[in-house]
Amino acid sequence: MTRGPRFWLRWSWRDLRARWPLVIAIGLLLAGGIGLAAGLASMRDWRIASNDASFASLRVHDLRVEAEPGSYAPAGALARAARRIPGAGDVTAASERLIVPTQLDASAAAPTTVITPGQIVGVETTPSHTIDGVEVTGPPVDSVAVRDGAGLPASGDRAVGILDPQYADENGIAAPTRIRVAGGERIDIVGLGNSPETFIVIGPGGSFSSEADYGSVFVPLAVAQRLAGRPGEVNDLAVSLAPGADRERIAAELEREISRALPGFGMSVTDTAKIDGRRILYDDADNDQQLFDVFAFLILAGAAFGAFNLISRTIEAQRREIGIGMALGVERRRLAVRPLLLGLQIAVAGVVFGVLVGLAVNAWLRGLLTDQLPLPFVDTDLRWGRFATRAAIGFAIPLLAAAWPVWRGLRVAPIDAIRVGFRSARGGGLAPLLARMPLPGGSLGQMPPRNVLRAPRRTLLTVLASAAVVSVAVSMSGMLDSFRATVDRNDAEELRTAPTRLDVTLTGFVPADTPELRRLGSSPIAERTDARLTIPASLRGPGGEEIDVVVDTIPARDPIWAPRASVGALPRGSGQILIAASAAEDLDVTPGEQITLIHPERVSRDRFRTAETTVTVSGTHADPFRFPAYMSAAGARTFGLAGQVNAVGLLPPPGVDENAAKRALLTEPGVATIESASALGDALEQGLDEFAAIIRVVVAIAVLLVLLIAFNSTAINSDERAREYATMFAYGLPVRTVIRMAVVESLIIGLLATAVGVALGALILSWVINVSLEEVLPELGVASSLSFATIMLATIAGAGAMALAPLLTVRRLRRMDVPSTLRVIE
Amino acid sequence: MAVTDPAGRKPPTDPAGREPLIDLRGVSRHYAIGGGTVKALDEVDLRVDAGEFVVILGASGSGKTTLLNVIGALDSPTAGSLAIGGREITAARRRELFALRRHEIGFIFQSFNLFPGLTALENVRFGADVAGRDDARDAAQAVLEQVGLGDRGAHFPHELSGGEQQRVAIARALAAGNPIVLADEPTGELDFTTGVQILELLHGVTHTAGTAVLVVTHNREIARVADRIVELSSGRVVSDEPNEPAAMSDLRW
Repeated sequence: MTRGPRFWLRWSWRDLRARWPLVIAIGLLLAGGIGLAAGLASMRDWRIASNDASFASLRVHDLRVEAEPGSYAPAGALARAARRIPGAGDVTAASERLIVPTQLDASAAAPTTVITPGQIVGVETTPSHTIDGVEVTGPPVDSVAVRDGAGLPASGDRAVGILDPQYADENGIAAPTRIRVAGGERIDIVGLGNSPETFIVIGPGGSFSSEADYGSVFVPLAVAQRLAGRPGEVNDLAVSLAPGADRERIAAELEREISRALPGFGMSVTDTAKIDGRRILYDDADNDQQLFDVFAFLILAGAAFGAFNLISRTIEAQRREIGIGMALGVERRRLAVRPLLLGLQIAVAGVVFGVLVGLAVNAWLRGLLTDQLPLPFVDTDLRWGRFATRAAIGFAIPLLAAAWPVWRGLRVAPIDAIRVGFRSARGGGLAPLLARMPLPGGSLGQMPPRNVLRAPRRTLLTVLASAAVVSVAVSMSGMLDSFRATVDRNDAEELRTAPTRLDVTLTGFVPADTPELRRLGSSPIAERTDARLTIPASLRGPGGEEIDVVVDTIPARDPIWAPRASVGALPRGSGQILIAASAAEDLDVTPGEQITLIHPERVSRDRFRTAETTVTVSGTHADPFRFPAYMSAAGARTFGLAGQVNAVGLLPPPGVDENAAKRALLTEPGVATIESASALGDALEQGLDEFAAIIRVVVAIAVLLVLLIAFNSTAINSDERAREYATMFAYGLPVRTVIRMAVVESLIIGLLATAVGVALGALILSWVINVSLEEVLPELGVASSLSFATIMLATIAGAGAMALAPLLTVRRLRRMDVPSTLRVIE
Repeated sequence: MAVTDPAGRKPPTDPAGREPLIDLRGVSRHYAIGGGTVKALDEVDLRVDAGEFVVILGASGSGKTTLLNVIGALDSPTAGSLAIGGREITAARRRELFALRRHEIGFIFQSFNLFPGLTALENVRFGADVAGRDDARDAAQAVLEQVGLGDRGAHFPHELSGGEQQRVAIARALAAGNPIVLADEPTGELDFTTGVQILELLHGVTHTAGTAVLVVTHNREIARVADRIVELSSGRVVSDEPNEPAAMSDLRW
């Protein structure tokens, strides 16, 4: 009878019926790991596919000619140059643009006051067309995808525009509506839409801005020229090339041709890779996937440890039956069938539930991506291959988890296996060590720590299972902490003095003693002003490493705010520069060493050229962000702008509201943008709030998994220790006291798991910040940091969930048949 | 093995002995199994005084363990009344039964049921701790020495022989200082010599400390050491006779 598989299957079926809650519980634990791993596995594919579709559909430029600030070319000149180069045959489209900074006043369109910096993007207009149901309008290169409302009219110079939908959403603006721009002009917003360069909001000079605080308005080219006071001029050219064209060669040809045709026109030619938003979207997809893979692995590992531990213990509980089988002469391989079938049942349960959880996680992530990705075309089709791979791993884990304890159980001599006192009743492990340690309290107080140590392998597995899951919560929450700490460090430096000051960008370069500036300084909304230059530039280190910076000159007299040198000294003369510590690290220089400043240099009123100047690093400042750099007022000579300024720091008098000051400044001639000193920090804070929502969900899942691990562990504990509990009850120990001891025991394990989880989480966080994030967002100079709140969160997730689990066994203990449990017949 | 009075022991509930320590009147315990009813106990009357060493004798299925469980407040009678220490507990609440077990009763089990995570001394101290004794540590050490294991206190149960484990279990029951000790087949897992030592120990406790000891067994030879033998069959008391205890050296099984 024992030879037929039906016998074992029938017996296994009875096992399943007797143990189905446990099988389901372990299956759910695995399901959490499998589901999250399978769900997260497709994130990269989705994001890359969505990026590809969005950039391709809107014909992102292959090359871009970008004029230096203050440089303009006659309309048509740049496009003509593109048609005259030797490789003109590879140029499939070239579209001129005029891109100017401005201030947007959308207060009339929004529920609250909205006065923020932004940009007007003047573009060629062509008839709209539809791709995959999305209306595409504007220029033939870097087209605009319309999300709501209408596209740009193909002709005419009416002041109509399309507003960035992210800006609109964040500020509660719906199209059609009307907004004002610097100078008081009004634009009728006919639709909401964005183009490849505005998928990610990048402020002037490559700085980061929040979606709520920096808006792009796409208008017909003629309208932009009129609004900017630059009739018949452009400052940008977007070029599309044929597939397989040699970008580098054509870029060089373009640069030569423009320099020849427009002498003194300062510009740079860049390719698609230079689009910060695009780089971030692709790098983010790759790096986030690495992160997701680590998280998925950890959660799967946590589930695997948990499953292994629980299956081991379940099979150990079958040890007597295995022993009896051995005593009756049943072959070991046959005895292995039943426990292995248990592993198989758990594997099947894990995968079945895992697929369901995975599909739910998939649906959640797809919805999240559709909402969060700033892309007009989103491709989140279910990736069955990726899904199946993770599910297969999840299937293999419980089988492997069952094999080891089965092998171990079958190695035991039959007599040992049959004895009740063997193994399960041993007080060995590390418990003897504790016996020599003086512990406070009586036997009841000592029992929990003794129980923790008497089975160190079991404790270790439970600790590792929970710790793996806790580490995910810690590292994710730690990312928020690290960003917040970086923002705080930025605020501490930027808002150190004059925290209410406003940074005003002018529409161009003006003499420092111009009447407009004097009038600004004496206006009722200004208690004090200072003027300076703000120039986007690049720095190249001795090793050739190049980074983007924004160079500010420090006003010579009585600045409202000035940087501090945390190492070295403030810059003096025109040949020194103060840079961020992270910039010095990336450029591999220290104060006193020389680097190359690649910058615009004015050669005539409206003409700039790109120049390289060797400067000495005078020191490093305390701002964590990499892009701020400072030169003395004399540094203006480097840019050919001695005595010129293009930015003003303005300190409103006490009692003047920030919005009122912004509104008043909006109509001042020469003012382009106004933003508060805390704008950058606020932008990052806002981004973090969105990220926090995702983290909360992952942390909630982690807490649930820990609770599941803890509950399973406690449930098996209460099975294994049934006789101990029954003895306690026989001696009159109340259920609450027994539960309290179980809670203390779980709490000790939970605290150990928390400690290991926090340590592991800190390691992962360090990797994320120092390796992964350093590639994606090197500009931010984020340092890994764990807050007290995160540690508390980990403690609640780890120790709290563990400690709570025994409470779930109260009913079982209350209903225990004490006499039957006590009387085990040998 | 000599047994001396352990420090701090409580006197029996009724030192004068006029009121029985255990008083069962018409106690029945019926179980509904399948479609029928099993009468595990059927109108049992039993009175046990302080200082008595009583053996409940019966074949397998006679109801002796059920009787022990009912007396130990682990099980409730279906009919009849039960008083422990003069207090009626038939309708006592769960909390009162727990308190009764803490302060009136000590248990000894066939398979010892020691806590594997605690040392011998700590296992004994468990009994004293649960009973709420202020001198739990000292009392535990004293009782452990009384059962001849004073030098084995730091050992874990799995490091002790079966007889030693049962002695630790007895010490745990005695350390509570409760007036009643219930022992369910205490020699069932032991060899002859060790079993005799255990019985000697229990006997000594009865006579030196005035504790009422009830031992359940199916072994007639063990019954010979009792002051009184109560024999059960099919849940009924078929005989309840005083007995002249035999010398331990006369026992054979």
